[in-house]
Amino acid sequence: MTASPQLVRAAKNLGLQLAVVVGVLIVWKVGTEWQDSLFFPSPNKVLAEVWNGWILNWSESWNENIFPSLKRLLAGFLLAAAVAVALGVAIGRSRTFGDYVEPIINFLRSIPPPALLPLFFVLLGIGDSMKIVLIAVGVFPPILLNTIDGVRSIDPLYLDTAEAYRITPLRRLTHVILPSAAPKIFAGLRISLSIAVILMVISELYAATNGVGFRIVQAQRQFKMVDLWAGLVVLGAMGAALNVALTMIERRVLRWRQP
Amino acid sequence: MMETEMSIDAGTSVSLAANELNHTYGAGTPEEHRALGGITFSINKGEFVAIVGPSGCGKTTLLRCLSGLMAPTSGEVTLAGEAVTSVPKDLTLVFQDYRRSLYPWLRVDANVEFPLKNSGIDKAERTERVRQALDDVGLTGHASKYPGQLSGGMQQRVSIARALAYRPNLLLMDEPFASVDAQTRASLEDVLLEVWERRKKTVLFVTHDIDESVYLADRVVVLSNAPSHVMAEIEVDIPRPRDQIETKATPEFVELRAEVARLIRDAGTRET
Repeated sequence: MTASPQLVRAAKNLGLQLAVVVGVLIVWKVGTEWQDSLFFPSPNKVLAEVWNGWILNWSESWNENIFPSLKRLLAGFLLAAAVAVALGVAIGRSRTFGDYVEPIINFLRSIPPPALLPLFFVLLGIGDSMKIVLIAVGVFPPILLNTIDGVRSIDPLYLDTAEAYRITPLRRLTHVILPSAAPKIFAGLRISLSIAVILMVISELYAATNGVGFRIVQAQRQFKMVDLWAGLVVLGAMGAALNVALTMIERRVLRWRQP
Repeated sequence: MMETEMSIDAGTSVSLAANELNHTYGAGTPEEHRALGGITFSINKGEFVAIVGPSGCGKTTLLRCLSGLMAPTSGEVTLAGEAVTSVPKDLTLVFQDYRRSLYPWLRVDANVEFPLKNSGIDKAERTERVRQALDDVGLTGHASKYPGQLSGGMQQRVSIARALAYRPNLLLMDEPFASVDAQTRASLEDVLLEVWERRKKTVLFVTHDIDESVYLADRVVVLSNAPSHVMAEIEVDIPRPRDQIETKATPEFVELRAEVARLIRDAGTRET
């Protein structure tokens, strides 16, 4: 049996990465042994809480915390992605339209999204729609700007070719313009995904009855430090899982770029 | 399901005609550039015509006007008697820059098939056309690769295959072999000639290479410097099939290439 060089390198990398994780855990453990602090529980307590409180209690964690959070995040993210890509294509294709709306966009994107929370609170109440809109508004600008950039930088010869073969406008959009802008659109989606996680948590800290952010702030109010840390670990794992999922989709869609 | 390509009605023998084409870029600005200065010529059905001219004489501008990708400032283009205002159905272009003309996100077969999906041709027929076109250019077995995995010469073959599968009666080619190495170029020239003879196409081939124009064409149209006009049309009555080595060694070939070269040199010195 011969392992391919790439596989060997991947295994080595994974080994190193695991070693770093173990190292950090050891430093954390040693630190808590050396200086007992109420606010920094030892890692085994935190991981035990993740295990007992979250994983063994999965149906409740999922229904009460993870699923509500995930639902808001994905709803906001997908809503923003759909509108931003559509608008981005329109702006990218029409210089005039772009000239009209770009100043407004530049102004609006300068407002930090969390600052809109009080406004949405008044307008939309404390339900899911407020949280979804907040997430959507926050993740909108990176997707929009990257789509505009991607559409503007399309090679004119791609479009000439489409014209030479009388490709219909709809197929030009779906088969030439969008694939050609896809690498930039995905760059925008990646930035937006981390913003979406941030805004999801913020919205759940503010006014919520469920969600991962809610569980964290509840633990803090009840002064359960171990639970608070466990919530942060779960949140981190959620963000990482979402990132992996997006990377896999990106690899699949952009597989033509890998030689 | 056999396409009868030869059943084109033989009403008129003229395929494409250019009448007094003028084109000026940036008219009225300091950068004003007059590229075309009254070009008139025509191509007959089934003919292989090459256009040569000194570099910068507006060959690409001419081809863009002829194909309907661009409207000339004045003058008219007709295809089988009909005025050309956008790219006609019966014509397509092969661009010089194959790297940017193939879609890198589509596999080779999907690139060739892409234009066919427009025209309501059923799947079986499309697959057959793709297979045949790839076979014609010697790319059988590369169908499921991405263009980025092929060499330059092979990529240009894909774009020729795409044009062939589309089955236009008129093929416009803009220096299609200018950016491949000499050996690949010779083999692509022969592929093109072979396909042209077998499939009975009309070809308009723009090049800056004099040897190439004489080797390929029935007729060579020589353009002047910009603003370009037709300086001469030279009939090439060298028998076919032609051969890269034998044909190029014949006295007729040597004489014709010298004649074209002289015209182009004179065009270059007359102005400037």
